[in-house]
Amino acid sequence: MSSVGGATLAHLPFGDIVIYITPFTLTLFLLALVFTILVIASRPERQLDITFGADRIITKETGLTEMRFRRFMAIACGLASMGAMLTGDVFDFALFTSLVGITNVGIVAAVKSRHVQNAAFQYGLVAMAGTVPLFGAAAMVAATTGTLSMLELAKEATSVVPFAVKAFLVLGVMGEGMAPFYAAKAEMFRAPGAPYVIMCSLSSLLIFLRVIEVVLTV
Amino acid sequence: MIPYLIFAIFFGLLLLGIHRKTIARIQRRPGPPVWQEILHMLKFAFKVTWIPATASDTLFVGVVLIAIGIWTAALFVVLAGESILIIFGIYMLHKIVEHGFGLSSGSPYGKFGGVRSVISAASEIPLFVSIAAIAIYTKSLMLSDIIDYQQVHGPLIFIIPLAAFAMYMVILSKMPYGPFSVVEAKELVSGYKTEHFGVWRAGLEICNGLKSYVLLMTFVIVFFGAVPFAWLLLAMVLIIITLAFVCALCPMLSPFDSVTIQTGIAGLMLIYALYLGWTG
Amino acid sequence: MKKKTVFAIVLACGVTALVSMGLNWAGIMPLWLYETVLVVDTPAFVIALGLWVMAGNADEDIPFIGY
Repeated sequence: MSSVGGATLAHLPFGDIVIYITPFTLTLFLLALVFTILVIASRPERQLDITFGADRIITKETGLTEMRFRRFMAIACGLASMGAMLTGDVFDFALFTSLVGITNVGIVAAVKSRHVQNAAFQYGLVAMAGTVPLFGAAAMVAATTGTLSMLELAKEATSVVPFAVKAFLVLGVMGEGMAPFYAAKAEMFRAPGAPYVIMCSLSSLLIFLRVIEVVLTV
Repeated sequence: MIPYLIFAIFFGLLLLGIHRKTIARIQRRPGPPVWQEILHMLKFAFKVTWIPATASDTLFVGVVLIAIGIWTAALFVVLAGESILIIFGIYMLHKIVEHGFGLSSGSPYGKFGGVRSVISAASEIPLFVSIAAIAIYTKSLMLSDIIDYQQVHGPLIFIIPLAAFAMYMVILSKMPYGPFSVVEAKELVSGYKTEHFGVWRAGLEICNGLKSYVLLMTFVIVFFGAVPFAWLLLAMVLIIITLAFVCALCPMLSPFDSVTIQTGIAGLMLIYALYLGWTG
Repeated sequence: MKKKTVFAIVLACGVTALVSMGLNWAGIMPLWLYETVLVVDTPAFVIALGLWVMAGNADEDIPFIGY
């Protein structure tokens, strides 16, 4: 099916690596771009916390080195998401998606708190396990069809990629995009830094949205 | 486009007013007038405004701008008959906007609203199922193609009623005062929007008006096809009244129950989509 | 932000939106460009208009943390 994300507006063939733009991928790309600019421009908020057992409120500060590292990871995450939105190659998509997973772990793991690091560790394990079906699916697409280009695969009248391979790809993306569920653990939000935490959720959401298009297209 | 945009904002807010009034009448209260949400938006626009001392300034303001921007874009996407997947994407991004609203202020109440918004991501899966079911029948996700398909085969609501139910549930999960509105529950003051007051809240109200208009219009177009404009508006009012009945008669679920029920519905819908794919 | 700056944003957004409407009506500007202008202009216009007409400024405060 070729009319999933709208008519192709442009495509840039870099040898085998094709980048193609439809209204859908363009919308997602622009959103990733806008949020990356927000990450660059904003400073972390200072979370208010009520001290139990005392009539006191404290604000949490984010240290400069921690902020710098998390900002770097968040920007890298934004760039990886932008890549995953525009690529027209199944292997590149898998690569960008795994990069999103790695940077998400980085954003979270930089916080020096036991609870947060526990969550980051668990998420890291899931993300690592997710790379097996993710790259496995990309390899199987190449093995069964002889190409990795989504544009070539979209030309077929009926889908030539087996259902199990598509399921593998979705499973891989689910592993990499689990970040919001770990981030949503209340422990993790003891870590201030809204702009960076938002990048975790945004990048995961974007790769989920893109994989729907990929699965329906190929 | 400018007059249409202004109309959509005000009509969307009016729909939310009708929703609130209907809930009140079902619960035997007088309720506010139907134009209350419009007055609300105007009132907030004139209020004293500041950014909380602990907030991440750029993000605090940025999410309000993005919220209005994405739903303006969504309106144009529907009017242009573009891919329904873009509307789906924007709908899901609204979650990130809610998340941003909640986290950017540093308020504990906003923070919990944002966390609840993320854990209730299960409510979006039925929308994907509904889209998959549509794709199986129409072989396209372009709204214009879906309208053409319905002119030949009749409204999709009679062909795939469960997909319509799935999308109805998705709209219900975004309705205020509903069983799934855990993100703005009263135990969290106002949830994710607690610290966005004054002009920022006026912006959020505008976003809510546009969101209601776009979601209901998409529902009518996808499941009933192209109808004359007056019928479209009437259908939107009727749907919002049915939603008000659900919201008035169901208590708000606890966050865990809300997620469990949404996941359950998503599971049922997945089985339905697989069945459609198998037989269709 | 100062009232003057905010008013400048209101004017800039309002004028570009109206000019694009005129250009689109005259058939000079394509619809997608007109819509893009509106997507960028609408949020900025709405918020800047609100900030321009609002009742007044106040000192910033910490978030609400309970009664």
